[in-house]
Amino acid sequence: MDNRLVDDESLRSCHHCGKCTSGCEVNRVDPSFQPHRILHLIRMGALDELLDGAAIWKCTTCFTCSERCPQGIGVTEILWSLRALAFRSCRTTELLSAQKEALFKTGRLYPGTALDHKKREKAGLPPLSENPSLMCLIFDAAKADRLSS
Amino acid sequence: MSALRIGVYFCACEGEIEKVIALDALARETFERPEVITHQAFSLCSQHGIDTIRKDVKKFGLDRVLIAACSPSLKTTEFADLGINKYLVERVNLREQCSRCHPDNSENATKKARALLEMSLEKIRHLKALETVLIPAVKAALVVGGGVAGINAALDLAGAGAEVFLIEEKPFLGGKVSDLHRYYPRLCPPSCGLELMFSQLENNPLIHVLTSSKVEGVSGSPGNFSVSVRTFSPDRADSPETAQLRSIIVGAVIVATGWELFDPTPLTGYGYGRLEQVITSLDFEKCAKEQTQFLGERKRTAFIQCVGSRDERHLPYCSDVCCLVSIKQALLLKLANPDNEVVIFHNDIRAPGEYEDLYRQARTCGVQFVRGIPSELRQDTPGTIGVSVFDLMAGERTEFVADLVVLATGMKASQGTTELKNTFGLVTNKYDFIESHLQCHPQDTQREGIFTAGCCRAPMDVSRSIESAGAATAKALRYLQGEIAVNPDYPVVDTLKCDRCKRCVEECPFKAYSFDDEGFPKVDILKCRACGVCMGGCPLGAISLGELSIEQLSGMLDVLDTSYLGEDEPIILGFLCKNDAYRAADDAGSKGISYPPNLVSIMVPCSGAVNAMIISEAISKGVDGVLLAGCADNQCHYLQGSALARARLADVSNKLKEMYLEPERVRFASISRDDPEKFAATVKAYADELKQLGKNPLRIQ
Repeated sequence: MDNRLVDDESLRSCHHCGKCTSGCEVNRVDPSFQPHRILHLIRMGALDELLDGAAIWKCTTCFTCSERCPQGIGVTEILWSLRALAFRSCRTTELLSAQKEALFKTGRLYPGTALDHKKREKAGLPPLSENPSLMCLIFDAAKADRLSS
Repeated sequence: MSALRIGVYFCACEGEIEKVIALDALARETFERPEVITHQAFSLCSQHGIDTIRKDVKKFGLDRVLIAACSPSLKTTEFADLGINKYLVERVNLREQCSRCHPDNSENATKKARALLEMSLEKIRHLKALETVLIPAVKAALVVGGGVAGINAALDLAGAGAEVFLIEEKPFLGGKVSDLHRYYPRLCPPSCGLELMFSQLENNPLIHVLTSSKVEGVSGSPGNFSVSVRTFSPDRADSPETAQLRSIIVGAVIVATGWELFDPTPLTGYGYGRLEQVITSLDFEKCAKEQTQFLGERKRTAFIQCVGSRDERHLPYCSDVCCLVSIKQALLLKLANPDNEVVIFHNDIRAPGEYEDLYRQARTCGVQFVRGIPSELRQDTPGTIGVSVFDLMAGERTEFVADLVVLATGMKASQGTTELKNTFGLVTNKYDFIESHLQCHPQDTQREGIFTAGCCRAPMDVSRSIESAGAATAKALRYLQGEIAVNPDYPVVDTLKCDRCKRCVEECPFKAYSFDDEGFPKVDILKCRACGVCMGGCPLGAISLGELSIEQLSGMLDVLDTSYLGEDEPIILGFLCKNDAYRAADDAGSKGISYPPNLVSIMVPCSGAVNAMIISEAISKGVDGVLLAGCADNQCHYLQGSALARARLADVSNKLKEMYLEPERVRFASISRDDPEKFAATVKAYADELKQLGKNPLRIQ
């Protein structure tokens, strides 16, 4: 198993302030998602537990934790790497399938919220299209259907 | 030169040295030199042994004394006064670096001892009688900064009889402390202490307080600094040109330029400056001081710790005081009104020593401590702040509605510190605080005669600031005694050789060099710490220390028998720094850690003092390998000495390559004072490597 993540110096500089979880929007709706706990488990060598679990797929990659971490730890980047590791060892969960389905169907991972629509309107942008044709074109070109295997 | 009369004294060390080294043979050979008398003692450091040397010095009119006994680091008091100038006495390390480290190889140990003895007999010819230099000094000191540290330094200095000039940029004294409501841990008002100090300042005729004043420039040396001070009118109406400028002569300077509060605005999540209910800990002090109802008014207060501190993007260090400041403020809120709800959101709580008591008081009187730092603050309803935090102890999110949020903001180096750093040419650490060698000399700066007190050195609380003011005073007093005694081991520049390249001026870690009228480098012996970094760096070998000259080293190389262990054994010449590597080598002997006898050592003040010319000369004279050993990384007593040595050695190594010689013939090693194992292992590995490499082609057959 690729354990470059565990040796990451910045990851080890964490002094357990919990700011990442305090500011996490996902944690507010799903208390089981705790970025500080994920970092701790990596340091403790419990990588398998993390890769098999659903937690790593819940991050919306909003970067709030990375931006506010006093030790400058790239928490979001680490979560990304974990996903890559999980995917490489074929340990994907139902959550990933759901995300993939959403991506193929709508062209995006998360549906736009009312606030997003309002912001776009204010900025003079056209409403979000539900048509994934352009996305599908890109996926086809990239042979992204391999994701489904 | 007429023949010198040299007395060589061999010590059997009560049999210990004699057991391994053939002292009789060595003494006999040495005695064959016409200018030498020899003596063998059972124990040279005994009263009898020392009396013998003293009598001989008188009787034979000895010009030099060579003591072949234990390490020169030892018995320095015993051999300090032999009736001859102490700079004319030389030591040969027969015990720690011969008999003790090669106990099972009497033959080779004696050969090595002979090689060391021959080098010392040559070195001794080049020694010069030196006397301590006394330089007149002014009995006055300058203290920059009128905060609690500066005031205490001024009072301590005047208490010891020195005249003091206390300079403060603001129109009034007292610094940050005058803004505080209460001190910890006794929770007493600072005004009480300040008033007492002010009256003491006023009533002491030795102290001159100059407010609304700034230091503009400095010249001269420790003992006689000339400082120009500009005094503005309190309203600052006058222009810099019209403000009064005066020159003050002082012997020493204490810098006490204090700290500034970290501005938490860049941490946008906390909304400081935007949300009215979010204040800093210093704002809290002002409110408590100025508004009588502030503490007792019933409210919910949240404290957030480590704001700016321990943050790689802002202040990467711990600001030292914030935990206790928040604990103190929380306690004051609780004491003023037990119905006050107070929560401290914290990282690790740092309350060392008796401060734990204050922490305990806060806990027992109902202050809540929550482990977890909020990421942002939200104003959901006007007038209150919602604090949402993941409580790491409970393992769940907790919400707190606060009427007031206090950010425990960190301390950073003040503007005044940065300005003074430039004026005085001081050196700061990576956090912008003035620092020299933190653990050994916390109050020193890298400039002789200039010391630090209080927060210009590091974040610290009031009690430690006052303590550091006392420490700085004690250090400064050395320069305020009317005269300063200087050891004569400072460097001397040979202006006949010097081509004014300025390298010494630039590389001196203590900025002791300036230029004389003709553009030659001139060392200020009061600023110099005799590390020899200039001697090591001079491309022309024009600089020599009082105790160790280029001529001595060159002479020692001339007489070194590079075949002292026979034709097939490689010879390593070790330049070992006095503070670390040489002592580690001694310890290897004392602890019975043996290493090959292929190394002969020369003690140098710092690895940075060894000139590349000398290293090249050693190789050209047939030495198989040169080991330059300095202290462990980052521990150099002379700051960049060992780093410079390493860089210079890389140049020599490249030069060897150009000359078609093996670059491995020079080697740098970092050896900590307490690592004799590493020293022994380094010598062994290097000797093995050189054996593989083969003989230095330049070795004389």
